Amino acid sequence: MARLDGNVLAGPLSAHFVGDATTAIATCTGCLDTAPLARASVEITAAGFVAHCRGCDGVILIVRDAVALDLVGVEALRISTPRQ
Amino acid sequence: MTGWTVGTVVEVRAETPTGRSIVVDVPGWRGNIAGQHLDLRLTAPDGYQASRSYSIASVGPDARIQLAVDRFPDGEVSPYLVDEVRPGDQLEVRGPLGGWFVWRPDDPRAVQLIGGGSGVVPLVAMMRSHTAAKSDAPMRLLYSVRSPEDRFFADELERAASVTFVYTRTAPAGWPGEPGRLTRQTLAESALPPGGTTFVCGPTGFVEAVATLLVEIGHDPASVKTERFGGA
Repeated sequence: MARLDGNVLAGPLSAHFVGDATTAIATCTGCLDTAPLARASVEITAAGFVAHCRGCDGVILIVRDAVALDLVGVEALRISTPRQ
Repeated sequence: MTGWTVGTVVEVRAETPTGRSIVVDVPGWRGNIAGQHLDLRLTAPDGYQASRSYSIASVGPDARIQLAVDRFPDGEVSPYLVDEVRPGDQLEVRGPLGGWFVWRPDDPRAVQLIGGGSGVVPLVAMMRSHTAAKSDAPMRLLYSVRSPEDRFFADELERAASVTFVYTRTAPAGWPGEPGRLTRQTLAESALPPGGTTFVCGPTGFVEAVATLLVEIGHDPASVKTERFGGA
């Protein structure tokens, strides 16, 4: 299927994070590319939302809304205090 | 962050042959900034659920929010929203969502908006926000559609300054040149030069092609924000 941008992760991740998680900056375990989750390349699958690294297409995370979050390919995740 | 809540449809309006705008009253809506979206969930009688994200065309604190939806032929949600939903119907929504593909009225940087089809929706929100704030930031919209009747919010965009339409299949009578896809030349003639921020929204193929062109003509990839919503 055609990929979507990581913006679509905002709702599913809201069950697992406080505030908007798509501005959180993730470092890919595979290639160390570092970018906001909003820039990830996302597939919607039966397993949930699968976010791929923009650099190497490796899987960064898989989220099932309010069920599970697997940070399988996240080397680091930096979250800033939400803007008031 | 919010969970799911129920809104009531108060108005539906045909926008294009395959699309409509929908106004939903969402009690307790805390307002949204331009570019944010909501998730909308449908539940079938057997309990099967499908949810999709839709950009919000309206901005501000009003509990009446406006969406615009284009019907995907094999869609699980869009056919219902375009063909079935009536005023009085209830919809489960979650939002506002998103902090990346957004424009805040206190941002002084020049902004180029580039939309394809229903991808114009968050960009219309940005233009409305810009107008309401009386922002001095330069802001332009390039809007690519198949034909004039495929434009969402056509009246509003025709009246707005700084909007350039690109017709890919059928152009209006008297249109200079042939219909065709957005090109480097159109960008050079009608879009702001590199240096500001660019928001591109639409089907994945459109967004990827435009983003590639932007980088080719000198835009810093970090200054280009994209919202690919799938499809072709």
